[in-house]
Amino acid sequence: MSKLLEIKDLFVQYNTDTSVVHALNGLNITLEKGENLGLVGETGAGKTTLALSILKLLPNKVGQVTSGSIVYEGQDLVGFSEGEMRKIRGERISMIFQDPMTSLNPTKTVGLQVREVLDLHFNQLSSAEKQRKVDALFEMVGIPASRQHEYPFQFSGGMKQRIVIAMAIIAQPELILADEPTTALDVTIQAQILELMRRLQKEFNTAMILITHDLGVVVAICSKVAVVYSGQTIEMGTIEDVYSRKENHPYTEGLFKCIPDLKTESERLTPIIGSMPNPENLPSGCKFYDRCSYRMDLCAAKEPEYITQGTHSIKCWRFAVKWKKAEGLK
Amino acid sequence: MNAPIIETRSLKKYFSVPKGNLHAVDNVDLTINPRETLGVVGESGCGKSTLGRVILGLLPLTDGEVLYNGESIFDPRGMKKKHIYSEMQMIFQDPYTSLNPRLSIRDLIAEPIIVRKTISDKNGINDKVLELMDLAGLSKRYMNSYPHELDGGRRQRVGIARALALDPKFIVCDEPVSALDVSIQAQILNLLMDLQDRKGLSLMFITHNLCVVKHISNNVMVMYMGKVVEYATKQKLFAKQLHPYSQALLSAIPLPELGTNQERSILRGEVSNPINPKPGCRFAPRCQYATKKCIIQDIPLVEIEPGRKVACTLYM
Repeated sequence: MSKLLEIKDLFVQYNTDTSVVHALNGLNITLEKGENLGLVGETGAGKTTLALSILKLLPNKVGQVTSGSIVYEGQDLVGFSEGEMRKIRGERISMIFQDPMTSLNPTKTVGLQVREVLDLHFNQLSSAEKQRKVDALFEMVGIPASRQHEYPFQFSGGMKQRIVIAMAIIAQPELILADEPTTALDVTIQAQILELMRRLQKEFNTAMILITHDLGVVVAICSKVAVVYSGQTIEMGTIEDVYSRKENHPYTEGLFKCIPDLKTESERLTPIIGSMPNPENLPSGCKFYDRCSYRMDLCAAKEPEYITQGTHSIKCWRFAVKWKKAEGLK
Repeated sequence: MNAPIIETRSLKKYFSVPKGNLHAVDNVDLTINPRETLGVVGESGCGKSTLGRVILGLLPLTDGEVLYNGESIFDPRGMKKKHIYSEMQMIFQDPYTSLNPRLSIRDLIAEPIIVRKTISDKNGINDKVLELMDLAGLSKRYMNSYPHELDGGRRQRVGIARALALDPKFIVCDEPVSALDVSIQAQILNLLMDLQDRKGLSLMFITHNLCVVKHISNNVMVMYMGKVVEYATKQKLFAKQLHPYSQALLSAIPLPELGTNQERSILRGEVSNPINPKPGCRFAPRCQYATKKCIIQDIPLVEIEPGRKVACTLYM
């Protein structure tokens, strides 16, 4: 496998009239070709900002990449011009937005909207060829091709999300950024959409970054997971590394604990106390310090190292100390 | 066993739309005992929110009865009885849109008290507001803040404080944690359970999330297109789901565990049209066990064992 995307120490900020919001504060992820990465985090952790940064869709002048690199197939996207990005968006990297109700144009038929991608990126194809492709794709995502002449309001939420997925894969991109693709859907429909995404991803061998706050959705469809907190990757590893729940960042540990469990009986949940630090005024040490039950003096004073053992990386002083010791013994 | 605090008898709510009647709630019988929680689960459009609103008298009902402590919530003229207003309250789903952005937290929480005139002097109201904020786990310093200054979890705490302002006996919680992050969701669920213990509240907990229902309820009611398909104690329902829809709903939840998501049965199709529905089981078009029997006539909800009722031909 070869590396498709590597994001290193990415810092992104939003400049408003009165303050500077630090959305990403040293985010790291790597993605191989054809791999599925789940990006987990709470509201305001910087998940969507990351997707927008990759596609250079940050609001003009307000959103700004201050340092770090986004290396996509050997090229750093940070320095790309708008013209160069246009060739990448939709053709090589495409995005599935969270809310299928608002991400389709209500005044155009869905068939035209799917075809638009081909018009923009594959204009050398003949009209009949394009049509054939669109027809095949509708069937593939489970919508009769005869319905492509209808408008978005004539479809249910699950159907609309299928259409958005069709738009994202028609150009056969190497990477799909899916921003909470099933959050607005009911559980039974969510299961259908996840199944569809898993199938298509296998068929086209596309890599995907699945942005979600649901730890269950990640394990259903991804092979790798990154946990984001306050704009930083605090843990990354294979599904087995993280979900075996042997060694986890205290925040990940807390996330697992506060999900009501279907199998065991428990009287009370163990929530993570407090809430995420204000991105306008971040603490200097570990961003999770205030809410952490394992905190030490060192944590408040100094930002933890991002340390890797095999396929598993954690940004926490507890593991920095422990893992280094283990390495020393070898 | 005490007498139930809330009871409905063949409750119906139809909305009249140009094409006919939309059956939002169809023949629902439920009972909620004091200090107990009834979880109402179903997908969007199954009528669970409508049911909550009809029980509170926020929507007029089409047919049937809602009884509060054994008496109808409406007087003979069809008006809601006054004293019941303060004893039944609601916590809304979205803490972002359910609070007036132009009122301070103090004013928001004091509003019900001022409207119902339960306390008249200003200091008394302030004391009550502080007491409520403390109950809901809000620090005193937010008293003069405005909703936009608080995060989602704190806003929902304001919604809870407001609902408690008149010392109600019964609260309908309409998806109170769906708009919140998981770590905050756990805080709010714990708070609701603590308040229930301390104040002796009865709750009706409306949600689409079965994990949450399992955590908080005594009894669970599964709804599909306005009908109750399964109604059982929590222990019975989560030990084994009998109705095919309950089974599908439970197996559709992606669990955050390794290797549990392989053998899931995925439900085909989508919810059909609730306007003038045909007789028969409304789940039949999506059900893998459906036979001719299912579409001939309506399937009644039958008690098949103590503490469990199911509406399905498989168990008749």
